Amino acid sequence: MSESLPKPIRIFKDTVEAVVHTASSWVDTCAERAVRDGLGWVPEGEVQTAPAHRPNPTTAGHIMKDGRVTPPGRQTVPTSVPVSGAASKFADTEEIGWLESGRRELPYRRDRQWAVPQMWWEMAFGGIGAATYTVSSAARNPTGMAVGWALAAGGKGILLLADLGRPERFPRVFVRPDTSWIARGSWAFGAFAAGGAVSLLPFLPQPVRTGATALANTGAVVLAVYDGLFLNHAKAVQSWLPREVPALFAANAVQAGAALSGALATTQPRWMRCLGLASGAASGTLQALYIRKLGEGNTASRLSARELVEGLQRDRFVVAGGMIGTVVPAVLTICAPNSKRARAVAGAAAAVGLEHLRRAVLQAGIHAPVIDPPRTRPIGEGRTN
Amino acid sequence: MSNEVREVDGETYKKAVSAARLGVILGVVGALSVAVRIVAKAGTALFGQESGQCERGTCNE
Repeated sequence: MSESLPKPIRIFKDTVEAVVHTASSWVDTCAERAVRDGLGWVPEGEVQTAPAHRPNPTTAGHIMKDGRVTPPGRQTVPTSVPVSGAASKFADTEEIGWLESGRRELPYRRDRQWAVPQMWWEMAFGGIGAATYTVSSAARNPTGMAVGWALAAGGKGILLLADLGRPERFPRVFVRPDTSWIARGSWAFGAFAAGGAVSLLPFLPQPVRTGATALANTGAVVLAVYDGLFLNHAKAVQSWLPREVPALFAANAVQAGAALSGALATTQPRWMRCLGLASGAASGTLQALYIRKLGEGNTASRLSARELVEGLQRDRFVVAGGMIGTVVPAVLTICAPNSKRARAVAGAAAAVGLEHLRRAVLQAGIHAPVIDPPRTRPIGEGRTN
Repeated sequence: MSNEVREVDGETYKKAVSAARLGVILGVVGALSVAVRIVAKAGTALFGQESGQCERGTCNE
């Protein structure tokens, strides 16, 4: 289909896709290379199956859990590493087998339609940019406003355009805002981009800039919660349905916005520190509530909880999203409120945590069948509680 | 670099990759924080102090 696109649009789409895929797989690729090339460690069984060739994650394709082979350099998850299917707090061995076996007749499968790099980068840029702009405009900090606007309007805008693909689709995304979250988000994004741009033009009269800032802030509030509400309406994926998802995304965005805004300001006002701490506490609490809700849900929900807490997404959801993205900024805010260096580290940590959290929630999405496959083992076998 | 390959069990390998990933993420945080400091300095040079900072006695004059 992309061959029929005009050449400049095709080049733009391909470039954006290559950049986001590289950025997404870079951390995992570096980590695997450090272990394989640095330590010389390989997982059990790999040497026997391929004695003459040690696969390099940067040049060789990975075999995914669903049997697909990713092209070189396009891995998003190092899924060639076997996931222990034995003990889990959330699912029994049979349920884990339904997901991990890769057999087509077992219809539990990880989402691959929305859980793509463009989507989580879009969400990350939109969330942190909109929140940074709003917090900075409240603190009357033009640097923060400019950076927030550039992140949301520039970063998210480029990815949205690349995602849209064909130019003729552009007017259609604004249609039916009464029923579609895509249309609502597009209007909010338009208001934010236009209002934010006008608010940053220093030669305009102050009343015009104040009005534009108000318009941009209205759009920014919608942008900060929009991603979670949008996921909430994807009914096929159980783990995106809880009400905690939009609340978690919003709290996390506000916390990252407060941290980044504080890092970009000459001094961080006390109210901004309090906002960061309160939203960080809310974000951490909502993460815990979200996992509890998933753990009490149906098989697909519990398999998603297992992915987030014990499985492939643990490093992103718990370590990067929870510890680095929430705890580190809070500790730095409390311990070193006046240090510019500490505020810069807090802002960077919150930004990294925000991206990883959205990515983890997206990648832990599991499609469920209408009816579970027949059981061959007793219910609960292999669960640790 | 030595070409010796050591086989480890899946759990150990996973833990090593997790630890290495944490190290890479912390490195990214460090690099980003330097970038944030540079942007903050450039922004202050470009836009000046936040409005009201000097009135509150907290600007860098």
